[in-house]
Amino acid sequence: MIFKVAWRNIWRAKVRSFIVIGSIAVGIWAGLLIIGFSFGMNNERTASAIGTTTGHAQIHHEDFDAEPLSTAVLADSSAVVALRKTVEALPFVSGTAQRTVLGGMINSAKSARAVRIMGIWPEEERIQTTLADYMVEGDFFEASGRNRLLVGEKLAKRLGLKLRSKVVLTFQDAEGNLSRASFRISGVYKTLNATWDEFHVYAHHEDLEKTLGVPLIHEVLVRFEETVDTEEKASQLAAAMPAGLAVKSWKQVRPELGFADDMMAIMLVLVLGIIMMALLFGIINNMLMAILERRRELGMLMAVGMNKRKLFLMILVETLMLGFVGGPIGILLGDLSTRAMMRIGIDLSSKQDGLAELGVQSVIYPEIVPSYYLIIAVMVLTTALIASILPAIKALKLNPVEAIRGS
Amino acid sequence: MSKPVIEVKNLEKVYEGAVPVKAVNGISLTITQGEFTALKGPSGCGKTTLLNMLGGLDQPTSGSIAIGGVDITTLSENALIDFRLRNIGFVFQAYNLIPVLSAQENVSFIMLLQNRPKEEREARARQLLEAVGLEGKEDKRPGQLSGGQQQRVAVARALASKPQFVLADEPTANLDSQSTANLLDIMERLNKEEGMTFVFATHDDRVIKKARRIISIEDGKVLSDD
Ligand SMILES: Nc1ncnc2c1ncn2[C@@H]1O[C@H](COP(=O)(O)OP(=O)(O)OP(=O)(O)O)[C@@H](O)[C@H]1O
Ligand SMILES: [Mg+2]
Repeated sequence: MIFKVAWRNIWRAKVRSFIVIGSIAVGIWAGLLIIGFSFGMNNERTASAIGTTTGHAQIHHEDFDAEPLSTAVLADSSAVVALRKTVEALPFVSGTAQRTVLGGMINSAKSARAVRIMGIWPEEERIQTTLADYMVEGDFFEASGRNRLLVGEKLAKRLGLKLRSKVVLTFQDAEGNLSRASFRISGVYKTLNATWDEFHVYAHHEDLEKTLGVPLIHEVLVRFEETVDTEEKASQLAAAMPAGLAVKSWKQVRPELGFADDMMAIMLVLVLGIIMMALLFGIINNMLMAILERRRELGMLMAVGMNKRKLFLMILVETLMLGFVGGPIGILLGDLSTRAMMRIGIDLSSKQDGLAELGVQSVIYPEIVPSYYLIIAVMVLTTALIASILPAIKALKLNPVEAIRGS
Repeated sequence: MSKPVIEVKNLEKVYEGAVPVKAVNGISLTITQGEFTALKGPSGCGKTTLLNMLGGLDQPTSGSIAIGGVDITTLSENALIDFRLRNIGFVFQAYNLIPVLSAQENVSFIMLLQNRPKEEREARARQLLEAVGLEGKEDKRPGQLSGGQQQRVAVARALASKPQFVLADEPTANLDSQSTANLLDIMERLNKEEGMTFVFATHDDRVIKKARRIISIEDGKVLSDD
């Protein structure tokens, strides 16, 4: 009967209860939209990083990160061919590509920058990554020529480079000696990640070999059939490697993508926390008013023998019920509108340049993240629980004599 | 000789303030089983204060109150709430009922607080509502009942907990004479047939006329008792 009383009490002040329940629903709704949007944005950034540049995993020499890059090669060319055969035989692997990776400097007439020089096998790269789809000027090593170089749009801007501009690359050769070679810009690319574009230039492996003397293969990019359980697949891959080689998953290769996930999780908790705080005050206010209005009635209940525990329980149940009504409405609204937007997408073309810095496309497709439904449900009920404490204490402090006498 | 239900000795209540008010100033009295007693006196003489102390709603400044042999002035707050629930029935001037519950549910509620089984609650609530002449009104909420009917529900509620006695503070103050007569008849009948003890605080002559014992109070003291 306590539930019955609590439930009916909620509907005594219909407008007020509607407002509180409505604000709970709207708060949750907003929270779910933000969650869906954030996950959509992050997943897209991840997918695009994997697709255009990084792959699902990469194989390097175990000293690749520690030693000067030029010496930490995987193996000689024929051994790499064998290695790639083994990798491609794994059931979850869809393909591989090999690369030369050198640390170096790029000098233009105007300025110089440290860059990573990627020596690629263009036909392979075209199959295994989508980089070729992101050319804004020139071509992806299609037109013939010598010492061709692809630079990112951002780097081109910084160095004042145009198509056909001449640049000088400085890097270490196989013996660790510094070498220089001049290149001509044959293409400008622009991925969704401007930071990547600023620090990576792509050269044809043949052109690098002319300076290096031999093909140096530092990296094998591995693509999986699907972007699921990538960490587990990466460790299976690692198990299949000969000694001296190391496998990194995309998360290890591009830790900033993982940081972005962590940052997002923190941000979402903050946003949800702020929403819950606002709801907390709304609910407390509502319940304090409800108790003030029912002062005499509550005093009467204490007078005739309702003990404090039961009175507390009654207020608590009443407060929780607000959450139990508002919560599901909010979750339903959030779910339906996220689903609707998953179909349409959110067009942010006007903010395109800013988003590119973040590695995100201009149309965002939000995602449904079921685990957050549970988190939100728990948060709302916890909020309602906390919100009930102050009003309940207030009710317990009522003096039945004064409450009955009134004044 | 009936046994005493309430025994009050040298009861005093002082309301502290800029000017301390001695609302009850040395009252001793005994109420025995089956009485139908009115406390009367001018406004401000201390009737409500005395009644509230008898009901364990207010603590005296000094003196003792024994109910069924238990000195309630020594009980803790929680023990007192439980004592009220099991031993005392209350009828107030107003705000007796929970507005969101039906008459039947209002009467049941107090038995729920006593953890009585559901069948007993329902049967007893029905029987008591019938006894106060509210047959057919069981499902009406207080707002759908007249003032007199609401007070009758309050009487049924007061009896539902099987108390040792019922305290009623100005139960007829808001009622017309027809409803007053009706309510008094019911309480008189319950007193006679069931031996329920009633103590009223009132200045309503209609109540005083029905009372078998009238205690006059003035300035917190008993002026006469007969
Ligand atoms: N909480 C309080 N604080 C201070 N003084 C109080 C308080 N309650 C009652 N009094 C005073 O105590 C005295 C007795 O009041 P009480 O309400 O018992 O009188 P009463 O006989 O019931 O009067 P009425 O017939 O008007 O109901 C009055 O002078 C009143 O002003
Ligand atoms: Mg009074």
